[in-house]
Amino acid sequence: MSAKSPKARKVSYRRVNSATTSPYIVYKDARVDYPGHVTGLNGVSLEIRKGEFVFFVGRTGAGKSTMLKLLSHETMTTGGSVLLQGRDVARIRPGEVAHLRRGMGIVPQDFALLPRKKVWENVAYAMRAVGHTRREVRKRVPEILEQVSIAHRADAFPNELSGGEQQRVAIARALINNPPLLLADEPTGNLDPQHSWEIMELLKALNLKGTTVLVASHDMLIVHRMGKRTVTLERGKVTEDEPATILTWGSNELSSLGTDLGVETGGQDV
Amino acid sequence: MFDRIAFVIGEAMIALRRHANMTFSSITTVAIALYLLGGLGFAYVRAIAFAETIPSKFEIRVFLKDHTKAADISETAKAIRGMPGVASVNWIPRAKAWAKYRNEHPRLTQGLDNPFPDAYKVTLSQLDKATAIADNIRSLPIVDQDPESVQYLADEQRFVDGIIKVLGGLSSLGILLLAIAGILIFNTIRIAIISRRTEIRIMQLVGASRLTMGVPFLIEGLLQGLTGGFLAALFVWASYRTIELRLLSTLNATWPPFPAVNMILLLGAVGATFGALCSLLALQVRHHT
Repeated sequence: MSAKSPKARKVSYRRVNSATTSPYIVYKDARVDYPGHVTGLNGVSLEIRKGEFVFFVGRTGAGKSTMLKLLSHETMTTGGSVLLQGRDVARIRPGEVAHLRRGMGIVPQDFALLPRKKVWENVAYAMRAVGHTRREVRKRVPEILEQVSIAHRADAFPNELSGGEQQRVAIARALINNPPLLLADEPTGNLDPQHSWEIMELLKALNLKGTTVLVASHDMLIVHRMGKRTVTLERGKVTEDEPATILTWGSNELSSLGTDLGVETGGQDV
Repeated sequence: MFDRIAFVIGEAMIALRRHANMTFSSITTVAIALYLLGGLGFAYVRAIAFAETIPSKFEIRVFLKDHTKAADISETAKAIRGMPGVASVNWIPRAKAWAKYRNEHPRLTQGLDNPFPDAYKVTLSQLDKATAIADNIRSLPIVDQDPESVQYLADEQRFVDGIIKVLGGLSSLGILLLAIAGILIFNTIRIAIISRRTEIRIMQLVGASRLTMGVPFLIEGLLQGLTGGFLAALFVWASYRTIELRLLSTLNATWPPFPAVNMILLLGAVGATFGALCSLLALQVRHHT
């Protein structure tokens, strides 16, 4: 599961390269109306390319979380469409939702950790739930914990961790399927500035390895400091789409350099 | 595959342990309901079948002395028919009784001579005069002087009737209890779903299939029903044995042997199906809310 064979890596690169020719995610006049005449999104059109790092910012109720939930099939469009790799997410059948979500990592704001399980057990539990064998779990969990720099707290319970460490565990859990897409809803909402920055650094590192990262946040200080593409939402509409101000080597660039760099550029397609 | 099975069973076991009190309530209610409905229903049917084998409470059997003449038999029948409270008198010739018995038990009767005497079947119209009629018949000259020659099983009939009534009543109560057990299992699963919402959410986040999320709850309900069914089979066996012993001491009669394996399988299967259905219902409610 972890270290890909050269053949698998080639396939992965090919996927990345093919994805760069067309947008990875497309919001086409996406509308969401919640019951009670509450508007979630009011005609959002947006394109996101593979390997991008995008912040959705705005006030509470502006539609930031809805943007992410449309991709994870937690919310449905009431008008327009949302395409993920060319496929309309709303048209995915209920039985295929699980498969869709295995192609993405979802990081919730409240961490959603199991308090009676240790750090490694929290990650292992999620792996077991999606059908990984015990052997795979034993091999993969230490690697994932190492990846998010929480391996040293593997035997701690969640209540023994700081907020930042708990968020790292939540991110580790989101990485179990080696997803090419990471959705983080207010990942720093419960954290102090120092821990918030650490989490953002971690997300940036994942993005550098090829993962497309979408973050809903209202922490403007962090957003500006990161210098990534920032989409501002207001009352369900995009009012501003500011491109990245700090350029980093993303997956697309890395992939074009071939395998000599030895960089993992992401996992399976969704 | 085995890893996945181990995972879902492990999840079910955790839920059962976490809600031990509710689980206990559900299991015992299922057990009592199935005991009353299924087990005692079975005993009820058996009791009715047994009751049919003994003379009716409106019936007196009279055995006559050997070699009684046909004319005497006819005269005495007329005399009995004239007694107040008697509806009819039928003569059962010894040859006819023997032929019927031989037909029913060919191996048992092979090589034997007819041991049956001639007999009457006296049908009563007034049950309260049964004792007086039985005493009058005993005093008739052609009636065998053996105390057993006039058989009136009123007490025994009352006993069997009582059992049938109690069993029927309790079986009906079982329907009500089964409904209560269903509500208990439903609530147990609902509580389990609520208490495991974090686990369910994690599974949803990482893309676990609906089967992986739902099967532990199905197993939980199924195990509750199955355990309840097994306990019910145990209760039925105990009750069956008790009634059997009472019958043995009161009527000197026995029942057919208890079909233990069939009863365990039947009540276990009914309990398991019932539990799984209640879980499924709880999951459906969760799915729609």
